[in-house]
Amino acid sequence: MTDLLELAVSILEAGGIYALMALAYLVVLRPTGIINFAVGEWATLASFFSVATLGWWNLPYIPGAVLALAGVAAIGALTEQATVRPMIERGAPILTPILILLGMVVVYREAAALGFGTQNLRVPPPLGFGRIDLGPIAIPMQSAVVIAVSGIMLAGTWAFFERTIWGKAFQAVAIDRVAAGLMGINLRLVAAFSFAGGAAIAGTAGVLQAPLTSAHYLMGLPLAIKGFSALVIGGVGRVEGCILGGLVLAACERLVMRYAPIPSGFAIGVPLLLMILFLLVRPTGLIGARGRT
Amino acid sequence: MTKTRLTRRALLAGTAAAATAATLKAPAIAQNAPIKIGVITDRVANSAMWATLMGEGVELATKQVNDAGGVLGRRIELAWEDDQDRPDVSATRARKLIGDGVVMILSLSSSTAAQQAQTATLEGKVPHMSPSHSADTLTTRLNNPYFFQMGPLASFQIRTLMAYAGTRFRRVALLTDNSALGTVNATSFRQGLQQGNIQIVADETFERGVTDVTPALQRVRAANPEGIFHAGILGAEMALFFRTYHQMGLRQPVLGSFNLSIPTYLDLVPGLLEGVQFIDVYDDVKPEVVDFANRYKAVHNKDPFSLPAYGYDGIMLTVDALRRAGAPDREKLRDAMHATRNYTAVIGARGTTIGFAPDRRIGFPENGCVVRTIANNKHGHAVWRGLAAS
Amino acid sequence: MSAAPPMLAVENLTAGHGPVTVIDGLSLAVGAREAVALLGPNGAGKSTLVMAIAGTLRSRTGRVDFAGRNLIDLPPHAIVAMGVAVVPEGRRIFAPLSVLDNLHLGAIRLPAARGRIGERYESVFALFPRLAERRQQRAGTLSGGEQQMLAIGRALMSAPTMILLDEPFLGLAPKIVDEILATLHVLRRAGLTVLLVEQKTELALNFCDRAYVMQKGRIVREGSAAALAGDPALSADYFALPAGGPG
Repeated sequence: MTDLLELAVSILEAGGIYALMALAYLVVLRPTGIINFAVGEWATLASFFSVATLGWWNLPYIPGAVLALAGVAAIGALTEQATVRPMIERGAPILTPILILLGMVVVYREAAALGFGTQNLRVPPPLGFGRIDLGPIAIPMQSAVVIAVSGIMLAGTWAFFERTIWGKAFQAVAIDRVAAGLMGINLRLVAAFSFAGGAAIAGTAGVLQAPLTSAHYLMGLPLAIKGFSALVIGGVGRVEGCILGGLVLAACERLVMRYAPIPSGFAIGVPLLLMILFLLVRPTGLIGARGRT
Repeated sequence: MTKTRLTRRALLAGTAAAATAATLKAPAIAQNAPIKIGVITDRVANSAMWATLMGEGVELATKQVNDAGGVLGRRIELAWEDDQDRPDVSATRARKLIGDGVVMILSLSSSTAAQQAQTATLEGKVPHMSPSHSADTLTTRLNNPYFFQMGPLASFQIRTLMAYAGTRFRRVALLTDNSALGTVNATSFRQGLQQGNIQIVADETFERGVTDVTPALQRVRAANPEGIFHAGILGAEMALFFRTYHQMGLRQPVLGSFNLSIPTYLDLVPGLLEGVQFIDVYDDVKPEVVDFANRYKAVHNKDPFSLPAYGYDGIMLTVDALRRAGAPDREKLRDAMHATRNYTAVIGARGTTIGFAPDRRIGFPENGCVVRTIANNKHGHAVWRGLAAS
Repeated sequence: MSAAPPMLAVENLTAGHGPVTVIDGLSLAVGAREAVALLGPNGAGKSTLVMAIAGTLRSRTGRVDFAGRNLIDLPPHAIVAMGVAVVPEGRRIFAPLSVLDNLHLGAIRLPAARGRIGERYESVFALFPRLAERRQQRAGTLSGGEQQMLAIGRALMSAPTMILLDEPFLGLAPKIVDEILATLHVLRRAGLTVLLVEQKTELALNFCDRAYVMQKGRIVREGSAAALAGDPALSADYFALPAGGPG
């Protein structure tokens, strides 16, 4: 029983990280149609920035973390303006910016290695590594932080899309780009904000994860893969899909790892099998996109 | 008659004088040219941290030798090349160094890079050394008589670790990560444990990039081992393991490979490694080690450990072989290197020495590893050197 | 024609999709408070012209003067802010969003205070009571006629001075067409300037003051609605000038 409760916490924690990564894909994908595989490197860069703001400059946690996220959001917006927008405006097929962003993965990674080195760097946690005792189990403090912050960010993004006019505007751009333009929605601004927002969201995942593991220039790729799997499982349409996909992926990983009578080396491959299965059986994921009636 | 004999004697004397003059002239010119030693390192990729730290030892030894007058009356000049830990690039860099006239090449990046570089050193007939690699096929996959491996083979490390384990445990858990080296290490650990009749009650692999290791450690906890062996090498996953280990209140002693000797962990997870034991080649009470540590501290203001020692020994052993060779000649150096016997290096347990048997080019002694512990968030003493004679 | 300068003056407009030129050196004018029809067969470039004026086409040269400003280099969102609203071909409503959300998005450039939006809703609902009844419904579940009303209502939310309609009556039942026409009359009386793109010649000429006829990217006829209405070449319900006709 203790095991199940501990696993529940573990699933919520990992699910939160995966959901944030999936969301980072989503906020760029929907308005622009671009699958941005560089989300993992955004998480890496934010982790390194937090090493600087929280570790080197010793800022208090919230300003330091926010500054790190602002930095990576700026990089997201700059990337959009410098590499994606010229392609879109020249009428390039959608594959072109996707490939450019794949190239940016390498650029970001090398920049991180050059700027911060190839060693693992420590990222301070906001509330330390203590435990919250709740009856039969103790929840690690950082796990609680991850669950809370990812939950808030996911709920906030959902509220943005569903309850504010600018969120509706982003949806409108996703539904019909030309019509959205005719409404007077500034398409360039939407694209820039979607990249900045995606970067900030991926950055949050990085800053939440790094205190437990470290900031490391190779940490981006696994996060990008997990996020993409969660996105596919949950459905590429909506925030709810990201949350569900993240939780399903995390639950599958952890339950298989804990209880399946197979060597853990094989258990590692199970979630990817799950994603393949989903793509075969239900390409739209668990929750269909809103655009489909 | 006397005239002829005198003429012949004069001729002989003249020839002798000329010959002497010629030989005296040669070293006079050569004395100005330094002896070049090539060093292939990794500045940017996966093995950059290891290579950089070994490089510190290389520099320290080179300066020490040059300050004392060099070797064979000549200075040592290092020629650095960066292979970015890519095997094909490593071979290319080796060829460049060979073309530049080095008498020895040290390989500091990964063992796969060193393996590939051997194709160049075999072809170019240049002595080549790996100071630290533990891969056990480096000297056998390619029959390259110019290549020498000074570092402790994984099998030696395992043997020492298992001998130590056999004195303490009957049921253990084995952990690793799914990196290439982690998988290889785990295989060695597994074999060693099985050979020692130690039961592996839990066998878990951490995925690279895993966000938490709770389920795997739950399985470990449920299996209730007496000790936990960690064969992994990935930093982030290792840090995560230690955090979770403490969070879950696990108490079993943790033992690991040489990887745990990397000081990075003391920064990443400070205070969480107390009592952890790991295989090392750095025996802190050995006189050569004390001397090395003092020299290193004077320059770098911190304590050294195995990695700089490998680099230091790489140069020092090369210099020792050069002296025995008598000349900076590649063939002579190769032969002198192979003839090394009973060389006391910084690495290796007290009482053990480095040497190459006639049929082998592996220099580290099988009983040369020690088990060392971490105390007060620093590398502590060697707690066991049981396989070494003294 | 009024002596005042036209509200919309298109001069020598050349535009197309990428490398393909669809409109070639076209000029037309729409006076303030006028209703002007743009007639022509399929493929004449009528919709392209609407998109070129609205700013959604990238490649355009020439002048598009609106209320004294040249729109030619402005992006669509700036053009809307100047008082031009478009009801595009095929309506292009946001189907998954509610009627209210669709209308709200139409007002997104509204510079004034938030209070004004309530007024705008009320005025649109007054014109289209059906939309008021269905305000929370998903736009995709509305009937064809209601969707057209929504598209027009959405365009009106930004309080435009000029509205461009691209084939708004396509596929609609006559009863609905009449309802919408009645509403358009109301809007005209209130002073709205209209450019109506249509294939249904008779309907368009009944509603508008003047008309242009387009063919292959150029204007081939223009004149008052009355003059064109009597032209036997334009008499059919669906425009059919013989190929290679005058102009």
